[in-house]
Amino acid sequence: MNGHNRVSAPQLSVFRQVFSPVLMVLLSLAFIVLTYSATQFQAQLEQSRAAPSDIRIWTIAQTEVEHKNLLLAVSKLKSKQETVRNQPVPAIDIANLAGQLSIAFDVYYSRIGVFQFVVGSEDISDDARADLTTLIQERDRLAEMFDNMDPVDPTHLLQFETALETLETLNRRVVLDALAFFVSKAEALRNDEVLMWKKFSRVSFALVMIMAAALYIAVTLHRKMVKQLVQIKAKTINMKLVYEASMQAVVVTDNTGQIQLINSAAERAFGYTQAEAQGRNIAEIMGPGHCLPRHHQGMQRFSETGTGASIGQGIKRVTSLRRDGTEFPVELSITSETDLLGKEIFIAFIRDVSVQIAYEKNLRAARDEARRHAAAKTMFLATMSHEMRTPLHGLLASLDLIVDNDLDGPNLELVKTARNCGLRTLHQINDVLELTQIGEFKEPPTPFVPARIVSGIMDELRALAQNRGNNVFLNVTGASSEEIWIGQPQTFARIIYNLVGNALKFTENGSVTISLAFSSQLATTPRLRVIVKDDGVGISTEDQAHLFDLFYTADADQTMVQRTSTGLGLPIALAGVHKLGGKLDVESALGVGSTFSFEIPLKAPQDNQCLSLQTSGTLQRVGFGLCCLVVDDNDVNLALTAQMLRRLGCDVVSCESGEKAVSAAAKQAFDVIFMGLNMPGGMSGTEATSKIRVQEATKNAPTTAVILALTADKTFDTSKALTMGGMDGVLHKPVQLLELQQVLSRFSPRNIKGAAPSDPAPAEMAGNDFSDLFDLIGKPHSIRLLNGVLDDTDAALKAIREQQADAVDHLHRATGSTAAVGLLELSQHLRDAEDLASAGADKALLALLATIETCAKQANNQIKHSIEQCSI
Amino acid sequence: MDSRGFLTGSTAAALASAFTAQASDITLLLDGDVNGGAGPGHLRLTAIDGYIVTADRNLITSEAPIISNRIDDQPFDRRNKRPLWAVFPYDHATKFRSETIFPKAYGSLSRLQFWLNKK
Repeated sequence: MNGHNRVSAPQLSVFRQVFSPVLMVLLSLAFIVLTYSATQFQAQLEQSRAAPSDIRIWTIAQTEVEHKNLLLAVSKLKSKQETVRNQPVPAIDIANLAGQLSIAFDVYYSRIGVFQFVVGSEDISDDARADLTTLIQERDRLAEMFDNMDPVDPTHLLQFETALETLETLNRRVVLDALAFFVSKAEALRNDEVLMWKKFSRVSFALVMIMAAALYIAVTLHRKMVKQLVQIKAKTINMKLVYEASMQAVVVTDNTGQIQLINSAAERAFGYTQAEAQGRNIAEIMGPGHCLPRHHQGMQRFSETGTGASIGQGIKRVTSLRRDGTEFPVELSITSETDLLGKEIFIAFIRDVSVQIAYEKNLRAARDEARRHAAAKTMFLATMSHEMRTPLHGLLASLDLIVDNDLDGPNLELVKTARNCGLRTLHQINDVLELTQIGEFKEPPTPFVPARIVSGIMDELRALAQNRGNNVFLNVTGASSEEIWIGQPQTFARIIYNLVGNALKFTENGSVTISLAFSSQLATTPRLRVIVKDDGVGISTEDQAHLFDLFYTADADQTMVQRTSTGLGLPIALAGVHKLGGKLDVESALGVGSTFSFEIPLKAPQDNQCLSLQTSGTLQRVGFGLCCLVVDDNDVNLALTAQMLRRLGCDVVSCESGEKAVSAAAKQAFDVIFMGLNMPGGMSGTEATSKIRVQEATKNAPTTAVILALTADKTFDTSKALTMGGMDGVLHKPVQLLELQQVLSRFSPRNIKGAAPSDPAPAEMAGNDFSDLFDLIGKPHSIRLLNGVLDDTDAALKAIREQQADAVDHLHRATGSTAAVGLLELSQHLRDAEDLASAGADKALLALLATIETCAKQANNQIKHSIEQCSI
Repeated sequence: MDSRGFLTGSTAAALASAFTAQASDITLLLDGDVNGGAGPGHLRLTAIDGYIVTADRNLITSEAPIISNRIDDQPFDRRNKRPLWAVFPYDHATKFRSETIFPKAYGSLSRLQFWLNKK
């Protein structure tokens, strides 16, 4: 149950497993050895005790005594007989003495027999044995003498006595030899005993030492265990205190779910006391009835596989049951543990989250309402903005006209201020619209080339970058920069435009680096990571918190660019990144620079999707792979049409004269040729078409080019074109992308024959802010083109004023240019002027001049505003 | 001698009559007849050379001591152990092979004295 107990458990078990058996073996060994040596000692002792040493000594010594007794008995009888000779003595006394002599002899005889028995089996010396044999022989001889003698006869008695005395020396020697033998034997035996005792003492000492060691170990062990037990107990008590004091309900069960312990928090939460809950199944008393089957399944699975739906899976929100039957939401976390006894237990941590859930519910409701309000506000703002844009355009145009008039200094300043304010308002409104659009506009998955979109945006922003002395770099890693992916190109472009524009605005004389990193290791979910890094002023930590707030700009009046910024760029980028399923991150430090990064999922295109690549919006690359030739004497027109065709996926060759077109067509076969009709001072379009057709016929080409007339003359229609030198149709200037697209799809080489395009309605470009042009060919091209248009117009006006001879050509050029960029009114006036000039009506031409100048001035302002706007 | 290790009157009498022929003197003494310092239930054997063997009643069992008047079914030699010889079955138990038992094995016993227990 706790870490500390787990630490001490192995130590205890080490003692149990290692020291206890060692101790047992040691003690058993000591006991066995001690018992064995004691038994041996006892046996040896008994053996030595069994030696009949003392009685033998006595028996041997007694031989000497019996010999003396015999001599004494003989002596007594002899002296009695001597007494008898002198005075009468009763015969009975003699007989008694004779009887005693007989007993004494028998005893002596028998004693020697015993002596022989005692000594005979012993390892006595040969001399002693010889002496003993002699003694026995002498005894037997003596017995024969004794048996044959008359004890009453003094002569016999004397003979016997003499023989007995003769035997004394031998008798003594035999006795002393035997005594010496037994004494030395006894001494050897005592030495053995001493050795035996010493051995036993040594063994016993060793055993006592072993016992002492064992005792020491046992005592140490005991002390350690007691100490650990105290520690464990203390820790257990601490744990218990913590567990009881816990605000969270804790329920401990065995592996079948039977409750073993609940803490006081659990008692309070569920309404059971520890005693009531113990032994009951946690799910049965604390889980709602409808959850029981699932609980049993889960337990079953856990016991089989070791993984359960709830066990060890972190915090789960479930419904629980109080004792009174009310259900309440809880956060449940179950862990599986092994207790000190090695049994599996489950510990359930349960937190009543009813209050939290109520709060969450309120919060969610509040959030939803806030969201609704925000959406309504955004909607309102979008509508208002849209409605405001049109009058604002009018306001700005009017202001421009006022500036045109000669105003005195202060008034001019006021008008300029009003114009700047109006411009900024327009800008802000445009951004708001974009922001709302990006959130609402559902962009379908479309093939696109991210790197190409980024380079386009870099081109567009080049003027701004140069203006602020910045360099812009692009790094592409992980895929080729031309690789096609499926995504949402418009949204992607808005994000990049705003991030890069933002970086440029806040960087001066520095660099902005855009990195595109494709990670497609996982073929199924390729991802694109985009990093926009600048080394500009950077963003303080406080400002970072508000970075994505609407209309927020850091330190708003610090620089010019910041004053002109609406503060919507980053919110637009953020909304876009969210829309693409990414997360916009920012890292920044004041004075170091900022790094904005995001990562979005992409899809790899299927093979057949490559052909329908879109470069912008719903524009389809209908001209993918088509070779086109554009022929026009007007630079602007030529560049514009060529650029549009490139964006539609065509390979384009441009020629500014009919001659060049013929020679280009001779070198290369084109699928479609856009032929300018009226090209003064050279080969006309009709003539060039005829020559090209002749060339085709001569070369016997398998396919022929589709040739479309390119003219501003609305009276020149398809039927007219078909009659002209082999043309297939007509396209009216100013050329518009959508028109071009329709014409291309209609005249694609596969279905070219018999197809007659209907005349498209002329484009309405009122209130022209050139945004379409910008969108179409990118801002740098547009700016270049627009500047070209201004130059052409100025040149034409100058030619009228100075009544130059080539005024017609200048007017023709200006007519084409202005029409190409949608300045239709001006174009119309210029066309009229061109007609007057070619008719030589100089007076009428001068009269028209003022009108043209007014119109040109207006167009001039319009173009300059647009250029200025796009540089911001 | 019965198996309980002490002599009853009748066995002592039978024993006495059996050995009368060879023993020069068998005396039966009853309890309380304190003679020679021996206590009740004791056996006292006296040899012809005056050697006295006393046996405590605890020592007297059905197997020991053996009071024999023959050896290998032959009467004793006239000068050897006659008339009676008290011996112990030394091979049966180590307790018989001790310094206290050895002096109690003695030949040429001529007098047996029993102190009988009163029933």
